[in-house]
Amino acid sequence: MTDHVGPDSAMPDSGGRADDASPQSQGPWASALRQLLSDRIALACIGVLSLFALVAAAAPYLAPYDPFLAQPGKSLLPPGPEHLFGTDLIGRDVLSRVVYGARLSLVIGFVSVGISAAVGVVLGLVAGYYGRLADAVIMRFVDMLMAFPGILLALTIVAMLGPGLTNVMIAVGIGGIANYVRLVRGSVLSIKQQPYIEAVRSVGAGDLRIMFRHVLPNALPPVLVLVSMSYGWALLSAAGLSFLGLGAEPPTVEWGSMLNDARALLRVAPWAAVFPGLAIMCVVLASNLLGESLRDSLDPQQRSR
Amino acid sequence: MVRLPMARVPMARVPMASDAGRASPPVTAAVLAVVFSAAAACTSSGDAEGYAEAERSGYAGRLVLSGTKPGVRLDPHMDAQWEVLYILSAVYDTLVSQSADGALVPGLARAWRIDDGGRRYTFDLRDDVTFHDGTRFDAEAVKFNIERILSLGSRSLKARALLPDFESIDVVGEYSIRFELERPDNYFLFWLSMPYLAMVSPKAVRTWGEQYHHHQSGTGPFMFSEYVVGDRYTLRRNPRSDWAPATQVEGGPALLEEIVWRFLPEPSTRAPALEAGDVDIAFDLLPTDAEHLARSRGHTVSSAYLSGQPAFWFLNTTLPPTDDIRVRKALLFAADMQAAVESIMRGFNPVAHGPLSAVTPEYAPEVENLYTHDPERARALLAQAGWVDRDGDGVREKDGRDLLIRMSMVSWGKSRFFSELLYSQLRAVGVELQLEMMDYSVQMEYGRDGSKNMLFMGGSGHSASDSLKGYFHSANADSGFAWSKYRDSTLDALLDEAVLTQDIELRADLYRRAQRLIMSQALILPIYDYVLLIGASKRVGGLSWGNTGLIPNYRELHVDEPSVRH
Repeated sequence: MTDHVGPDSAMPDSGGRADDASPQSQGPWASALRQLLSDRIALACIGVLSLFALVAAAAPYLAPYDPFLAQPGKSLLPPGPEHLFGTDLIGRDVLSRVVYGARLSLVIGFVSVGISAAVGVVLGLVAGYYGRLADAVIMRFVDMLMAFPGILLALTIVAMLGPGLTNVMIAVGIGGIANYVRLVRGSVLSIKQQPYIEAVRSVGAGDLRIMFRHVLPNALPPVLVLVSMSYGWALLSAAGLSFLGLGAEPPTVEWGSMLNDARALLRVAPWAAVFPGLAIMCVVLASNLLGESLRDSLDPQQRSR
Repeated sequence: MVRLPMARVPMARVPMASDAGRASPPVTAAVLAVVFSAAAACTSSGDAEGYAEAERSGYAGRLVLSGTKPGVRLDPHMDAQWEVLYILSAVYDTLVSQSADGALVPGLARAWRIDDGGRRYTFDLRDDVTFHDGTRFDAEAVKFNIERILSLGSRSLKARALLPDFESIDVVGEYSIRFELERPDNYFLFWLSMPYLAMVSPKAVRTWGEQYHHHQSGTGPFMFSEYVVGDRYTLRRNPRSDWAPATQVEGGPALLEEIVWRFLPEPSTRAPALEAGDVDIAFDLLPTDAEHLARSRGHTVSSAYLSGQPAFWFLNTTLPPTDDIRVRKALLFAADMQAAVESIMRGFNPVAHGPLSAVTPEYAPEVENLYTHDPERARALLAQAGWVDRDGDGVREKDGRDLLIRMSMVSWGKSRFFSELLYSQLRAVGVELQLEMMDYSVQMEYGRDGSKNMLFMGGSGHSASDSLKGYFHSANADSGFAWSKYRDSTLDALLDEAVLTQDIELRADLYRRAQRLIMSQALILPIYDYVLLIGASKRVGGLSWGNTGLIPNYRELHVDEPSVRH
């Protein structure tokens, strides 16, 4: 990482100029990427997230034990050479469970954010682009969603749909929609006024083409930031719902439900709760910090400063 | 013991400014009482030291107890929680009392006679008992109580179900009452010994109606003082109580001045509250916390063994693959509940072997040797039943279908951990356990429509009578709680006959045969006997829990060392 120190300090100026003039520049995306890669925090975050993704993918090779294998004779062993993260109440290896738990926890976050972003972006586009009735209807719907704190909304939806992983993903996904709609609508409203949109329209492009080909790409950068920022929130909410016993059902391994299992043991066997908790913390922190770096690098005003 | 004025006394935990302590007369009295009892307890501390200590602890005759969350009303006739038993037994007395070995002895009823083959019960009542509100306890009051429970109908979550159907209830004298039952019920006396059927003051109920739970009045050794729903329930000594049942050593008023119940619904907070000195006795501790506490100085952990129904899983005899007795037996051989109980309940609970806990008088110990953990035998039984793992995925198949056992879990207690452990143990013999977490109402639906192979049950009965018939008689298979759905005239006859049998030995024998039948048919997979874990500060003396494990003797509860707080 040390080899990035040099370019890092030189970057702001050169980046700004390259954006306007340099022919090798591919436009704002490339320059944002370059700025991002020169940001040590961003790189560290990408490193952490990739590491967890790798752990999740290679779980069967990395986990020292079967995550479901209960050995009641080895109940609540503290961390040691045999069980690096200790064992839980019914004698399962905590390390193996954290490793396997990464699979589900990471995927839940992705799917939830995917649902929020997909639905939110489309609704935001439609509301911002068409305005009038569409805007009024969609924004009142969003107001309705905004009336409840995200986690409470997710909780209500799970209560309606019934517990279970799929429902938790849907619930957390819906809980995150409002932010995307508002964000995209705002961008679209300003993009819509740009002369180039007028130009595209005057050469006869249809609404759909304008919306998805010309408006959407320009509204995406802030969405990307929000995706990164809300990934942490989604993972945390899903883990929270599992913690409340509404999400992953036993024997499924998930960080939130591991925390729930270990909650009552916090005083006698803290390791059963600390390690899944640390895993959640690392991923959430990394995705939040990455979101901030992304915002800085995608914001033209920040860049030119 | 010095009697104190019933004035408000500062909370023990509130440090009193010394001048305020001198200024207020009740406080001074309290302090004096502490010094007195400190001297009586032969502590070596000098007067000054004792005085200071006493000032710190406030009030020696006061104990703070913690339980879980009570029902909103905490009305013995309405609620079903264990708290009704172990909190309200201080406030109310019952007609019949239980000795430590489960014998039924006189309580508020001095004597009784059973005629007409168990259909007619005549009780002679004590004539020296008054309710806390000053009204007299007599036969009319008993009649009022039974009729109140009957009229509550479905608002009574437990008491109503314990009463038999009456043909008539007659007051035959001022202190004599006669019940004519429609059918004989040999457990009528047992139920009358449970605080669910305790005697409340008719006057208080008539006066306060829906607000009765804030103005409770019984005949017990402690009088209701204050109830802040969800927070605390305060009791003070009933100075007039002189009618302790024969089972209790101490007659006369209780030794303690005041009992304060604090409600700590989150189980993991009870042990820390005890260690911090916020409470003196904590009921219903987590096994892991109890283990931790037992090692600490200054605290004792005692176990109250509960009679009646242990925790177990029903095995559905109508849904494949558990309709095959070989599969059911294989499950019992494959499950190592001894190891499971050791790890999950930290060795505090006995492992269960049948449909009754070991402390129940009618328990059949011979069921203990039926299914000792033997995975090899489980594998052999499954192979015999035609379940073989042909595709090598670790799960056995027959006719192209995987050996899948469907279980619905409940969220309470430790049942989830047992399910997850069983999941691991069954996988070792090639059985896939499919777990699902559902609300209890959904689980009841599953029980009735028979769509799951295994369902959790436990802690719903206190005696052989209410732990067996409702859960194994085929009459309860479709709409009740007999979720094994086993229909067998022999078992039905045993359970029916036991209810009608007067002779205690004959009756116990019938129940033992029923237990053997239930286990030889592998209708359930027993898990553990219930144990209520109670942590207490070392200064608490006179703890005892009665035969059911849930009815403490409050008259003898006292403070040994007045001022050791942690």
